[in-house]
Amino acid sequence: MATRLLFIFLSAILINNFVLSRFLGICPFLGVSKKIDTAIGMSLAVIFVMILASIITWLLNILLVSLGLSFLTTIVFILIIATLVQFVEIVLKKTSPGLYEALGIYLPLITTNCAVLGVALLNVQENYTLIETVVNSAGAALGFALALILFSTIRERMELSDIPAPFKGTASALITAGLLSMAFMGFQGLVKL
Amino acid sequence: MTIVYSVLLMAILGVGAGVFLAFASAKFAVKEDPRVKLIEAALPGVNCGACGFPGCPAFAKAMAEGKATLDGCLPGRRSGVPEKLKVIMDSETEKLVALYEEAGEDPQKALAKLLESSGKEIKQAPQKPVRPSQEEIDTYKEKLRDDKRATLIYSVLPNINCGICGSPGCAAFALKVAAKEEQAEKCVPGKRQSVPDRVAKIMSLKDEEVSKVLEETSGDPAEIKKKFEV
Repeated sequence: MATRLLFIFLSAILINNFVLSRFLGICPFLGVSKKIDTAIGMSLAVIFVMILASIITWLLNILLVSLGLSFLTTIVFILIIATLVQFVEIVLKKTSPGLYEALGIYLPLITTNCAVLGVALLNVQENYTLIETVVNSAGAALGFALALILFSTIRERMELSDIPAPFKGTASALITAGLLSMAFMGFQGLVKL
Repeated sequence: MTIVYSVLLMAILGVGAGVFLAFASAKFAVKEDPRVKLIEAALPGVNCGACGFPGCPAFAKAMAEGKATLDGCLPGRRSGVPEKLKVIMDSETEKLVALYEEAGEDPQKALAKLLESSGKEIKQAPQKPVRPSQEEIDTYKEKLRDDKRATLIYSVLPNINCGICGSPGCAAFALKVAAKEEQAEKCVPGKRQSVPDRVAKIMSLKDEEVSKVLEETSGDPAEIKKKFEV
């Protein structure tokens, strides 16, 4: 049991890394990775929302299955995630203005982050138990944070280095993302589930 | 049957989420500090920039954060803005919030009530300055060509066309001053830039001296300003 959870966790972070292996959540990966501060803020928000959303969607899925409405999962999950993000934003604004300011625009942006929806749907597809769901989403969220922060540190350094004009900015960022993704392919075969 | 169930489920979920969010936003409502809005309401609103901030809203924000001085608004000095700002800054946030809500979130009304309740005599502005339109400014600039003395005066004015002097733009003001119909002291933003002294120097020149200065400087405002350094 414990080893299975560990495998799920490691697999979600490294092998099936959401950004670099599954290619989900590319938009914030490219958009919010120019500075390490914003990358960390976004990562924190994603970790929080991803875990919470997958728990609630897992519970909701039981209801959907019992009603025989499994085909509605995607649209229901979108609704739930959007509501949840809004709710988290409202609560944070009241209880922790500092964190609210720090997360800023990234919090509402998560509503449209496909990685959050992706992890919720994958949990259901794999028939995970609740504990496995939590572990898998925590791993996926940490993997997202890892990829985002790694990428942002590289981009910060690239700002200072001498790059040929045609490759400046997004071009070199995309090449870097590709290389990073290839590096993560090296983890394939680390864990066999 | 499936259709009925799915429609029902989506309706319940959608309405439920909506009600839940409405409830949450009421429960966790955050009262924002109305101070900035009140300060903005107290300012002349001509965005002349004489305070050193980009416009009145920026000044109001700086004021609320304690980064600006009470008499920082130059055009507002005559119309009692420093006194009004003092009342706002001395009031407690809770009182301001209550007043602001009572006034239906209308900054002007809330400000009027606040000033009333403070019981202090506050000078009223003779007239709210009107910023001249670009057309007005341009018409008077055209007229400047025929008046050499007014051209010199125009060169030493701040040229921000704030309208506080009551004339439509700096060019119109310069023409009036040259015709001795207006006093240079009326240019409020210019007081710090020693406009009155410079204008006095220009007015003491004879006509041929005026033409000479214009020729020497070839009409360059910066050069003219240097000529009448105080």
